[in-house]
Amino acid sequence: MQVNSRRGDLAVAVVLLALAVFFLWGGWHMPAGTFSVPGPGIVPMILSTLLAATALALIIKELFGGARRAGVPVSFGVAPVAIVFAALTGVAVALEYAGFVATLSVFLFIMLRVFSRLGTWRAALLGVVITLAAAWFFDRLLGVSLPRGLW
Amino acid sequence: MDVIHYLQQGFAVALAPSNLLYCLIGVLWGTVVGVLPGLGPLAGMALLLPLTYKLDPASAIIMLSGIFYGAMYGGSTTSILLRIPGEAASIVTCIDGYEMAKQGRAGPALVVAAVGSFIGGTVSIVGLMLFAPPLAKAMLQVGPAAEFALMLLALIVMSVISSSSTLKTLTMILLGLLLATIGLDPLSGFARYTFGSLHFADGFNFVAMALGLFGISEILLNFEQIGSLKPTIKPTLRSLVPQWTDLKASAAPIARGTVIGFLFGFVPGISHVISTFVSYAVEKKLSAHPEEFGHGAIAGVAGPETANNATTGSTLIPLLVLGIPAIPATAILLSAMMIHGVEPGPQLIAEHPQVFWGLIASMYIGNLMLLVLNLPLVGVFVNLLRIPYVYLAPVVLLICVVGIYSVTAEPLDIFVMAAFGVLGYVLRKFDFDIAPLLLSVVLGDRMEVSLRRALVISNGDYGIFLQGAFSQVFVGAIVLLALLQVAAWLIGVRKKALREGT
Repeated sequence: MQVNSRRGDLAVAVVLLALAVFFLWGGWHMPAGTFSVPGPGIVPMILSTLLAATALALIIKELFGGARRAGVPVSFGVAPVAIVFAALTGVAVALEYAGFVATLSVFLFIMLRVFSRLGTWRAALLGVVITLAAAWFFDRLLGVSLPRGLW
Repeated sequence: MDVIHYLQQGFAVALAPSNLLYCLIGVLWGTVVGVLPGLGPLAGMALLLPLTYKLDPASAIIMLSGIFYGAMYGGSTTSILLRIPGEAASIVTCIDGYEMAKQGRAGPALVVAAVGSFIGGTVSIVGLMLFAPPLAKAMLQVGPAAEFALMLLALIVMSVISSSSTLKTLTMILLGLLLATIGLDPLSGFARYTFGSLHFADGFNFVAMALGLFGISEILLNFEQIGSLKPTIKPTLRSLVPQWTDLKASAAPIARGTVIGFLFGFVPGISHVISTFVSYAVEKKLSAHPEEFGHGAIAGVAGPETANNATTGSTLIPLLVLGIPAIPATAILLSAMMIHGVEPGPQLIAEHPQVFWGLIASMYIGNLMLLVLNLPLVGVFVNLLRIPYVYLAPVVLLICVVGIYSVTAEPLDIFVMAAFGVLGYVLRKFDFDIAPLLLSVVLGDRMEVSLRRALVISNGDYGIFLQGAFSQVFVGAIVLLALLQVAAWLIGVRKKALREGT
């Protein structure tokens, strides 16, 4: 997918502005104290106001200041990013229930199956072998406690 | 005399067989992560963090810092032989290093890079050894007001020298500072943005953030370039024997690179990367044959490679003496030190002399190990790049998962790492510098504590930031930098107006 760098900058700035508003709203509900004796809310409020200002400046720059600038196309690997993010999220969810070996074997299988040209059985076998080797290395050799799952 | 006495004690620590082994593991792993694109010193240290849990603090820091300076050596190998910078600080080496390799002079390029790295790295350690103790003594006098001003100065310097626009960098710094406010308020214990969850009581896990922003995002970027590996140029063993003419031609660039690198090591942000560009520009300017640059000039390899290694010692000074990491990789070292109960700062040298002096001594040994081992192992390191990235990346992701889980035993941190990975990928795509973001997260907490403590001490009088020599110097530097930035902006606006007028 191709995204124009100007539009990308604009999108990032809008998200940051929304984030600043969220932090400002959160800070508003904290004890602010005074400028002389700041409470826990004052620093987040100052910082979120400044972040909102710089995000707004970026938006204005992209919309008006750089109006004559065409921007450059930036390629986006949406599929690999989405797959890696979803797979890691899956690991975060399943790790303590299914255990290290089962979860990471499936994770490696998905990664190898999607990104390499390995067939299903080879990817599955390699996934299990690498995970078992890693489990042995970290758990047995280094004493890093890895989750064993509910069984 | 004190220095020699303490250094002797340091060598007693560093020469213990177990510490020699950890130093060797550190420098070798550092070289590997330096060679492999996508695994810089930061990810390299984070991945081996679990390995250090059962070690004593001195051994752990010796191994982790070995990874840090080992990575600086490794980056040059792939730059010269493949035109792939294994590490950002080796980008400049690609220009003339690869040209030399194409002309059949890969051997001299590798030798000069290794010798320059050794000299730059070693001189830098001497600087660290001589400057850190007196600086630490002086910094004991620094109060919270001066500490706040110093950290603010560091952030402003970062915004000025960043690779992306000042506005974008400022935005990243503010975002980092804001993210640092998540968790319990350090002074009152009030929960901020935790939504009642205990998990975020200490804010985002720093290692998860760092691995996500730098490690995962790099892997995602590399997935786009699968299959674009260039042919490797293999040097012959005979060509790795140093030639007098090459060493003679490189002597002055190495000397200048050492000075440039050491000075730039103090600059927060991406000092090690900038030092290489500055060194390259200086060498080209001073050269009698500037036209050779870009076509295989040996000075274009010797200067920058020396400079990036010469930053390693001076970059550690702000970390060890002030507890302020100057670059993202040393921020991981800071985390590791805290995990091992060693708090960097002015008290470090007095409270943990075995760690500080053991580290210094191990760096001398580690640099020697790198010089001796790196050239004969060039073939092995290059062969690492033959492992297809589609196999390597999943394994690296697995190690990242283990690394994160072993720090907190909290699966949510794996999600945090993934989320920051995507954030880092998007930000890097649109030329937002992520180093200031990460460093601001590290500094944010301490900046707020210093600011509020200073105001408590002064009963709310902001004049405290102008009291005392340290505060005055730091605030003066902030004002000067701000004025210079405004002047540069005004000159730019004026030039643009003149261009449009003609």
